[in-house]
Amino acid sequence: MNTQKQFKKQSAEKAHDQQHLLKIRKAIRTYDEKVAEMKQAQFIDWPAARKQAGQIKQYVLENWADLLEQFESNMKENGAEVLWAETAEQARQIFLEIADRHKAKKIVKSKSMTTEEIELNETCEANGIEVWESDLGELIVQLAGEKPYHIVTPAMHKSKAEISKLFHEKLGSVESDSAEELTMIARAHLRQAYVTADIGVSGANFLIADPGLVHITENEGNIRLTTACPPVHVVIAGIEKLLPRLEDLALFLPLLATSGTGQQLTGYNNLIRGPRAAGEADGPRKMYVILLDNGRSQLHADPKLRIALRCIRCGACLNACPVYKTIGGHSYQTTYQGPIGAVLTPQFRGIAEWHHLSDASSLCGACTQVCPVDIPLHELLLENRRQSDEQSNTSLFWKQSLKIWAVIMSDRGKLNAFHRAAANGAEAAALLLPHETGKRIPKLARQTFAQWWEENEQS
Amino acid sequence: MNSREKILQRLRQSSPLQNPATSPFGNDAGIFADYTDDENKWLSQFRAKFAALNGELYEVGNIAEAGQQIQKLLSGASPVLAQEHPLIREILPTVEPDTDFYPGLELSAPEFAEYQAAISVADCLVARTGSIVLNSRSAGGRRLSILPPLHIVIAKTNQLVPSLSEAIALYLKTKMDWSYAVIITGPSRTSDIEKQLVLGAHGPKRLAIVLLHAS
Ligand code: SF4
Repeated sequence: MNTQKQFKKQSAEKAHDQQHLLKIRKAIRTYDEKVAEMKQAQFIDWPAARKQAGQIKQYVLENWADLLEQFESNMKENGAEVLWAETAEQARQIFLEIADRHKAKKIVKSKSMTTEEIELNETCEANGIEVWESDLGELIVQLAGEKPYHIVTPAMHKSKAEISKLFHEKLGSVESDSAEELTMIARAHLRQAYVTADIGVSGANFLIADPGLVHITENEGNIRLTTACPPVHVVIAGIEKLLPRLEDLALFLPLLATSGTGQQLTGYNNLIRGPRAAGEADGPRKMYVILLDNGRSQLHADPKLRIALRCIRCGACLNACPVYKTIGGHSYQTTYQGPIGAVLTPQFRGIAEWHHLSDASSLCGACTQVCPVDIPLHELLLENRRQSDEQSNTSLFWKQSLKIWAVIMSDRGKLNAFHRAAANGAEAAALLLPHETGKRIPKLARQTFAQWWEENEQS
Repeated sequence: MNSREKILQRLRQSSPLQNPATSPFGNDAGIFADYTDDENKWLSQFRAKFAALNGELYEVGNIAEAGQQIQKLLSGASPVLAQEHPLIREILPTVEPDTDFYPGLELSAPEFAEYQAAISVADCLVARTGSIVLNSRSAGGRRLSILPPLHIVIAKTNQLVPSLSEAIALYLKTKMDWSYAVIITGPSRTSDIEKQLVLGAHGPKRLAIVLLHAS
């Protein structure tokens, strides 16, 4: 089955799954309330704050190469090794070489969408390296053999009862209906991982160019343990994660926490400059930063879509999207779901195969409204559609007909003049339009409202 | 050409010519509704924010009181790992006999995990967010403040700063010769299971500050 058919089938199933809808709506309602409250309490002027953040990110995009080099040389000075990967495959090879060098048999990993993007878990397992996910939500989806449902809250779709059953089956724990007990089961299980793993792997939220520093945010403490206990720390980060200066975090940390989870700040904001420094008590002896391109620099060449690279992966556009809330995260079959996923995936993986994600939008603009870095997401969805149309092999006849149709439909005078012809045309078009395209032409009433009014006004 | 050069070249080719400059962000007063530059309000703001995060704040007037407070906090928690630091040495002789000092002894990861409480100092406290800032050089390494289930921070009221910009500015004034720093905002937590808040997900379940009033 091709990706488009699969998407349609899965979305239709999920849209009618009442249980699923209830779970997602409940989770997102809790999120919405917290976010609204925090925006109000923390920001004098939220639109002004996000505009400022958007400008700082734009600055990064326009000075990208220089800032990356600055980041690299500062990190090197602190003793970290910086490695560059053009593709997911290169990133996997680089990681496997590091693992080989340190004879790693077991890695402990914190939540990172970039490692999902390069399918690090599958790569490790295929090469005999054990992978322990340490984020609670990630652990749950890993044990269930699933992919993350959401870029911020991976196990949003799992109920307490499902998690209890899962832990019972996979970890041999006693069933429980208390979120606290279930969390403690995971805590005890993972303590083992931190103290025995050969490598700790993390993503990054921000790469600070000046001074060189990797920022990672979390609530649980699993990132702190992952980056403190094992003898080697590997960061895998997309090249767009840059920020110019440490001072910028004073804006971006509250912004990300508010949009991501409705918190003022997340529990731990980790700032990592390098491996253990001379005279320090502990910390990894080696630190590597793998910078992943994987389509980002190509996207940068597109002047319209480049702005999507501002994204800080807060997840707000997913939670705001009526399509995401109906079909759920798994239907997308992508690393990044929701509106930002629908913008990026066709660009990264090919418009021909993935344009249906940009088509599946009501263009309501809710995503654009919530984005903390001011990305006009719905306009980018339209741009994807335009590019897809340009590349498609729809016949010239159809393209021309639709153009004429658009001219008539967007002008009242023309529509009145051509009404009868247009109505006939639409019916004919509906019959003629090749069925496989799945497109429907709206049915035109035989009579315009003005005509109807004239006839019926007196009676 | 290697990957690095190829990536950088592509980015350079597509970068537009204009170089829109932005000044570093430092406008907390203009952005955040809860920002206050009135020094007299920082402590009350910190109290409220830290309490809302489920942190425990104990205010003391002198070293002896600090010792008593720590004793109370440690009741039942043993063994204890304290940061090797003059202020902590000054406070601790009067309390808890079963305390190891770190660094100063070699601890493997499993040994480290045995400790039931940790005591450290901090670099500053952030009033607006109720946060504690510390680093791997000033606060006894990376593991001390995250592995044990109770973390006690000893701080002074003159370490309060109004917001994150000021906390960052403090660091930028130094050599920043640490490899790791963390902004701690409340005890370890998760809401991954049905959005219910649970404390002590992987790190400390309890976070306490013993705050010495600077006289
Ligand atoms: S596009 Fe904007 S709202 Fe969506 S995840 Fe990225 S930063 Fe957040």
